[in-house]
Amino acid sequence: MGMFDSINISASALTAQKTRIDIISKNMANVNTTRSTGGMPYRRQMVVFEEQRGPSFSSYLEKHTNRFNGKGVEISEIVEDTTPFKLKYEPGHPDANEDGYVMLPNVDMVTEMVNMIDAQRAYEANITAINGTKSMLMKALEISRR
Amino acid sequence: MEVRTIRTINQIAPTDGLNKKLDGSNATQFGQLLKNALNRVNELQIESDEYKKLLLTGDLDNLHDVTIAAEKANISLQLTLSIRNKLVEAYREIMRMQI
Amino acid sequence: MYANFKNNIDLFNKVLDGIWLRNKVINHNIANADTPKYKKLTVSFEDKLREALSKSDSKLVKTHEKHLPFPVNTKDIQPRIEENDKFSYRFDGNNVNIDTEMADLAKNTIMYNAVIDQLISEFDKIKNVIHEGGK
Repeated sequence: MGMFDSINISASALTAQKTRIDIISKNMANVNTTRSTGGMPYRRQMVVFEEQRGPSFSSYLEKHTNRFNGKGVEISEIVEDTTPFKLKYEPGHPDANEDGYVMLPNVDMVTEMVNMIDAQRAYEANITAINGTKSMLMKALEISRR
Repeated sequence: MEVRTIRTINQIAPTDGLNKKLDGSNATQFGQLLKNALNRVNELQIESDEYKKLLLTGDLDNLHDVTIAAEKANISLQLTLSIRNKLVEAYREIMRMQI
Repeated sequence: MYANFKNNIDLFNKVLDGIWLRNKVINHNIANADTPKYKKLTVSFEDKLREALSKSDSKLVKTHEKHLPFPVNTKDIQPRIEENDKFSYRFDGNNVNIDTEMADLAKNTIMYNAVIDQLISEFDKIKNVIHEGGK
């Protein structure tokens, strides 16, 4: 516990959203990558958010006292999107199969853009939360300044 | 010119207050009051110190706890000093009285 | 004067504790706005506080042991964290509405600052009495 718990919670979210944006950028950069590991096209990656809780010996107790052990959020893992690859008819492409179809990454730019905006909005929300906490702490210090 | 006889002044009946015996119970009450107050001031100082320790080790939960405790201790100490000054002044005043 | 501390300033201290806890919980909600299956948490203590403050006026008596307990004095009030599992709008089971949380954040911050201001003025009152009354 500590007086900076609130800020730690928001900071954890900033880290998580930043990672999410990094993965989104990677997806967008590789939207046309037909040669990736194993000779397959690039597979879209997604992040999995997971709530972080501190240790508590009894969740019943925690709900009924003012001991709050929430520690924000973290990216628990980065998984690959298992939706199938896109197929595009392009016979002249070096990676085209015998039917003339090229397997392209299962990355959809529109989806990535929407997720990017969502992640940015979440990032800004957590920044606002930190500023709010900061102003409260400064105000509490004012008591001893008089 | 008439000279009136001075009537004898009625004896002033003693009031109840003077009849009361001066016992030491009032003094002990006041002493107890002072002692309680000083204990309370001390308690506030100790509480403030505890919170300051928490602040230094980073275990403090609420920042306002330490500022409020410090302010409470501060004010109670100021009040005590102010009362002490007044008492000393009153004592000096009494000592200055010429009997 | 020490009774004044007990009544007013300790009360403010308790309320500040509740508001600070609420700030933590709101931050946790905002941080988990994208976490699947997360249900938002809320802090409540104002209702119990209101009851306790009006206790001096009311004549509530517990005549049966099944009567709900009501706080007798402000020292017993503890903030309560509740999980709000109203139905969620989203496929991933998350029910955090980021706009509601931002509004709550603003309200809470202002409330904290306001209570601190009142607390400072309480202290100032006492200090004034000490300094001016001694003259």
